[in-house]
Amino acid sequence: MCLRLAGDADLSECDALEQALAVPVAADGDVHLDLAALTFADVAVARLLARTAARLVPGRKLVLHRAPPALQRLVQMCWPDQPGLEVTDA
Amino acid sequence: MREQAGGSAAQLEHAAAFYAAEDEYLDEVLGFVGTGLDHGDLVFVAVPGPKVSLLREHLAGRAGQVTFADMTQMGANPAWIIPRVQAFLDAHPDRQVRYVGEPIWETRSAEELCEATRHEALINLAFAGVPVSILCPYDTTRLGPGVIANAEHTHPVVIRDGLPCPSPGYAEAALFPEECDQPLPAPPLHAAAFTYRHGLAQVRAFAGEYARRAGLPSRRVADLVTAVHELAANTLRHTSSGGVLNMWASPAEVICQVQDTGCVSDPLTGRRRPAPDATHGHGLWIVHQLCDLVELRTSASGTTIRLHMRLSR
Repeated sequence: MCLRLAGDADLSECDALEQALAVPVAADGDVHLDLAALTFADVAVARLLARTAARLVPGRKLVLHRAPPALQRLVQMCWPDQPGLEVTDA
Repeated sequence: MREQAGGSAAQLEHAAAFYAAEDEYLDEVLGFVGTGLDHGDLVFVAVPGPKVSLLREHLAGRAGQVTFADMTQMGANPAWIIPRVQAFLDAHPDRQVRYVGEPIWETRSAEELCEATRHEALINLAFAGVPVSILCPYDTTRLGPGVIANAEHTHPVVIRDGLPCPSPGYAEAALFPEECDQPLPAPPLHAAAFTYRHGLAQVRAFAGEYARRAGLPSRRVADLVTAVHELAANTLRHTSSGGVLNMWASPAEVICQVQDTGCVSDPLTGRRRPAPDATHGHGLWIVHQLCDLVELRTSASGTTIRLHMRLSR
């Protein structure tokens, strides 16, 4: 299962995003997010993603696919070694 | 510090070393570095590139024991320096560390000089109680008397002619020298203005459009939009009165100012990487990391933050 995010996502979207993530988080396996169509993400969104990854049991991970460079930089600046968080261009 | 007694610092030592010629520079810095290496300390040297080469040459066989950085890169934005030094300390928790930092040189702009001076003052806060010894060389032939006077304010110890003594100008009461803690001058009359009370998407659109039209490369536009968004988000989170965004361009930079009625109570906010599980404090960290220079003035009546983005870098 892969969730797709599109458009601008900022702090005002965090509650909705957290609810959307709750479904795959409650299931088994890795959580996949396709961010190719994301046009903006702020630090609140990046923090929610990092926190979601941190809460996964060891062995599971949150995979951010095709995240825009700006979001990748936010993650790199604030959560460079977050266990359970994987950023990939694939 | 040729006459340095003893070896490792038991607490923060922060000295400005005034030099007027190359041999004096080498005496001070090589003496400080050599004493550290003799005691088995780890030594980190961040000075402008040509001086890195000079010091490497004179350290010869010992240069490999020293970690070097070009301060014109590492400290282009002076707010980047404390986190780098902190990262070096964090990487070697069981070792004594000596750090040579030369963040001030003659070709810095007036705004950069001011921010680099504020950085020097913040060293005293950031590393209070930390057993690290810091030496900051100042070129008295190329820097103005005001810069030197400010260095006396920001360093508890000053070294002249190789002799360390307590700085008479060091003032713990006022963190920053008065000259570097004035309200920022008003934006130019031609600056664009945008008032916001909500609607961060409009703030982003305004900032992005202005920066693009001013010729900022697209990747830097994205960085500036992120920085402005985080400042405006802080306004909405911490105040009820909204804020004002001003933007203007010089031949070399796009400048963006965010003003609101909030107050930044910790002067080190944004100069320490927030803990991974921190629930706040990421905004100013990112703003400092993304921008070429950040000027921040805060008081009980409000906060003004001015972001500089170079058109070419």
